[in-house]
Amino acid sequence: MADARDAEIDDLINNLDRDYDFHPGGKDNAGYGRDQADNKQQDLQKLLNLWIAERTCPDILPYDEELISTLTDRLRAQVEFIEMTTTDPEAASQSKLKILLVESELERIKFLIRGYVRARMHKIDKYYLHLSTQDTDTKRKLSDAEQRFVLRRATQLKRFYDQRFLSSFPQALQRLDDNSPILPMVDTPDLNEFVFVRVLQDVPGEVVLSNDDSVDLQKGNIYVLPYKAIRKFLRVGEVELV
Amino acid sequence: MALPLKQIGTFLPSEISFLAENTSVSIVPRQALDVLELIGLNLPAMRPMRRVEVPLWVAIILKKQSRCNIIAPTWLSEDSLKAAYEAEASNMTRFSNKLPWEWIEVGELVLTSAPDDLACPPHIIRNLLRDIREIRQAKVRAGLKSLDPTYMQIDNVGAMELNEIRQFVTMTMNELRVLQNGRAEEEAEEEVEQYPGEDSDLEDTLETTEYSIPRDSSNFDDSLRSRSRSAAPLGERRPTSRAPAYEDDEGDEEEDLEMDESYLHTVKDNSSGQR
Repeated sequence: MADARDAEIDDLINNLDRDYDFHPGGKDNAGYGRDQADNKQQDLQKLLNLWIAERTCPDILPYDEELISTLTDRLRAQVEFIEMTTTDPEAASQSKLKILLVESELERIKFLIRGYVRARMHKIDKYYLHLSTQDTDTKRKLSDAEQRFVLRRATQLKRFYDQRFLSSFPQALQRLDDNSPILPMVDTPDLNEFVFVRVLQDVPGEVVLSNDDSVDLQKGNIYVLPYKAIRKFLRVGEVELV
Repeated sequence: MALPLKQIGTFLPSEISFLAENTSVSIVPRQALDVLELIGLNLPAMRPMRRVEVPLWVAIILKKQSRCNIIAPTWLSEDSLKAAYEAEASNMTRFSNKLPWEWIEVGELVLTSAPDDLACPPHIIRNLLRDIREIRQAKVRAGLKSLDPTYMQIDNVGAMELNEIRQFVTMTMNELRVLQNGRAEEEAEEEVEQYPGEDSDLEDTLETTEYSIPRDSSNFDDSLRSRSRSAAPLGERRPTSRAPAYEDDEGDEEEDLEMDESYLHTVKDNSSGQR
């Protein structure tokens, strides 16, 4: 009880500090603006990396809900800005250039987001059985919409196949998800596929590959390695896909 | 479908160039412009004749309207390109680190959008860039000879250069890995008779599968598990991609050969499926 109250008070004090920091004009405001600009650049960089990673990685990567929703919010704000400026006849004449820049960037960001979603869609299409039957761990990688899509697709396809031809097959041959080890029917991402990675931070120790080979990952170098071998470094941001 | 075949597992050159447009360059604006809040950054306020850093795509837009001059990056000058060429030529087994990641794209973009802003005639720069590109391509080709299924290291490669070889390298290495695993298992295991699908028809295959293998995947012993992993690229394609004609003329071929065949088959199948 006392702890909870303490935490609350701490929170209040912290908030107070922050509020106070923002208020006095001049220097602090500029600092805040810079922070915000830094955030924007980080967001853009994150989106670029996400797009590249999703296109090059054999497995489906966790969906970045937060980033995409922040960016779509900003997209909306920019569209509003364009509408506001173009409908105002006085402002319109002076700000053609501004609108041109804003619109170009809008399209660039939209292109990236679309590309990101499409790359994911491609994998979801390909591995829909794997994704629809999987445990929560795999599911967490998908956004809500993607999860709904996977389930709908799986049930609809199943129904379609059943009606078309599966129902006339012997019972034993009707399954779509027969995962015997020799002829698995469910396509799963091949985690042994090779990917191009750039090392962002020196990875201590050597990375052991199959066949008892190992490799030393040094900062700035570019390697072609099995995705499986670098997956954990990718997660903590020690390497990036290129 | 969701992604055109050309874009699966790789990027289009235009996409690589699009990425390179995000690098920042210095420009000298000819016109004033207030701070502009964008989604991915805030454009700094511009005053005539004051240098500012902006992303390349902004610079290109402004340049097109002759509202700014682009200051070419330092590496894109005659002297440093010559130095870079020397460095490339002095060591034929490694790439030099004198060029940035997006050197081909940025070079091309600056040359086409702002040839008049370069310190020396654009054709000199263009020739130098081409020389460097050729010497680096020779290195790439030499490197491709030594592809093996473990790993490859290519430091200081450019984004465009990497993308050019991406599909070839990853596909070759994947196939080599499959072949290697196949061979290793052939030596290690003898239960070949359990391996169906050489020439039996689909129904037989499925039935033998049912008898010999427990359904529940948690019961597999390790040897089966490893077999299934290496056989996966073969197995997962077979039910869908095998055409009847193929089954007939493929008797007791060697396993390696068959992998090639079925691989070619999937390639064909994929491309026709995409259309």
